Amino acid sequence: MTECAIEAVGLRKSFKGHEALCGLNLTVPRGSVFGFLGRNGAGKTTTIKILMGLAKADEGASRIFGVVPGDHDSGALLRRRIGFVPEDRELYPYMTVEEIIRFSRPFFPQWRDDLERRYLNAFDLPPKKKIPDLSKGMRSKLMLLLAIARGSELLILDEPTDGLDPVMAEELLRELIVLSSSDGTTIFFSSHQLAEVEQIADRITIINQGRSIISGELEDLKRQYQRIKVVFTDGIPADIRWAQGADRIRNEGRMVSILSGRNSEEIMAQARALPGTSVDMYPVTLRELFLELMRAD
Amino acid sequence: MLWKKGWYETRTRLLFALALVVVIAVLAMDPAPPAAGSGPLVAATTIPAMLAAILLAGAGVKTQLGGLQRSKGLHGSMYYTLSLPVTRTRLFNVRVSLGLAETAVIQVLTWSAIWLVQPAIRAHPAPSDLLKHGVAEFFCVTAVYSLGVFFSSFLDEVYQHWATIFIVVGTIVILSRVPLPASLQAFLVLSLASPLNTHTMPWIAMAVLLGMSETLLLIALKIVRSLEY
Repeated sequence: MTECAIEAVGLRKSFKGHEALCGLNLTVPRGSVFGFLGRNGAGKTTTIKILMGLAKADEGASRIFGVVPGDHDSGALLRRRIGFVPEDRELYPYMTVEEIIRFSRPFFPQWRDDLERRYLNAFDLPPKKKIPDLSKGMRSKLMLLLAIARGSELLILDEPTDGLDPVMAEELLRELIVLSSSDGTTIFFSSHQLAEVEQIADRITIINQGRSIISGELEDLKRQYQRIKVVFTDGIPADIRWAQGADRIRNEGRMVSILSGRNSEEIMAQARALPGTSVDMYPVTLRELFLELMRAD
Repeated sequence: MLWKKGWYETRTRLLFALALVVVIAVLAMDPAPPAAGSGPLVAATTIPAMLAAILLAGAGVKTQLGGLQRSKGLHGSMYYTLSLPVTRTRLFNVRVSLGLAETAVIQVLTWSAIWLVQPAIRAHPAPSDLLKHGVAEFFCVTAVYSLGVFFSSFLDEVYQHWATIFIVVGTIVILSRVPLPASLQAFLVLSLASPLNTHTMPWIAMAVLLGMSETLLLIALKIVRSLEY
């Protein structure tokens, strides 16, 4: 049994001359909660579509649980193991909540009645209500219910908290953690909400312009990246050459703010050796890391 | 369950088509005593049936592929459908089978209504000729339906109805002006080449219509399988 839930190597995809993905690599271990981050148009949704077999990569290969996704029998069987919440939350407008649940259930032998009941209650979904009569948030909840109750081994969620109020979003995030820890469900989700990614993800990949710019365990990345602030009493000297590892340097008045990905101690020592400086090192938040990497890229 | 989904998508349209059948039947009502000759019979039976078929095909194209086509507004439900553990081929087959069944039901109902309101139909043609005409008509309408499916596999929603109606009417006009044997004028099985006139089964025309339908459906399936969403 493969240890990876998702593996993608060298994915390339162009639309009318615009490169949406430029050799993207992705490895999502089984059982992980994986945050997939990037700006609008970075290639997140294109990647998700390729993983779901909705689009084909021009180059490269992807596998989910060792199976190539696509429109073939093994691809169809693979989808029994995947719960999917797309960016667009529209469902069949002629069905009610209970009709779409009844419609979906027989496709999935692992359907979880317990989770269905639990989320019907937790999300306060009215079974008799027609789907067009549901609010955007309610439709998001229904999509999540339909994805989770499949009893999937992998949930692929494109902006799962989009349309949910903060309380509901918080509850959902908690439920995702419970699912992952109790059932070993792998959760792969894209999000713009960096705080919520930081709250639940154990691994992340940040992509920009169709390629991965950073990837790894969130805690390792946060340990690896440090913010060093150097304040000069007499202004910043013009000719400083910082040691290697100073990835992003910003001058703000009399202060230099350095994001270091390695060699932090050496950079600290270099700063302390300069005359008239006070030096401090801070851990970075995911938000800071994301913004700095985006600016640098 | 896909059949049930298909039924949900079909039921409103079927109801609309039934209402249309009633309207057409009432408009075609002719209390006059039966006239001799089959010409008036053909006109009485085929014109309303043809009209119903074209309107049905035009109106039906919108949901022919049950959300498989890349029409705006159907994206969300399309993503949900495509996330189900079934191949696009199966989705397509279920949708097309339901569409053909729907077409057959409409044809039978149209025929029944016309039979009820047209004394001439009840009096003159032999039941075997009526049956032959019904079968030929089904082949003709199936070709129209297949054309609708074909267009809906790659055209945007707005253009689908017009494309189907334009091609059907255009084909009928062209075929009626080209000097081919009546048996080869596929779409004329509903008028000049009708078994009500010829008293024989228009096998060649039916084979042409069948071939056309199969080709169109196979191309549509190929397009749907290669679509990226």
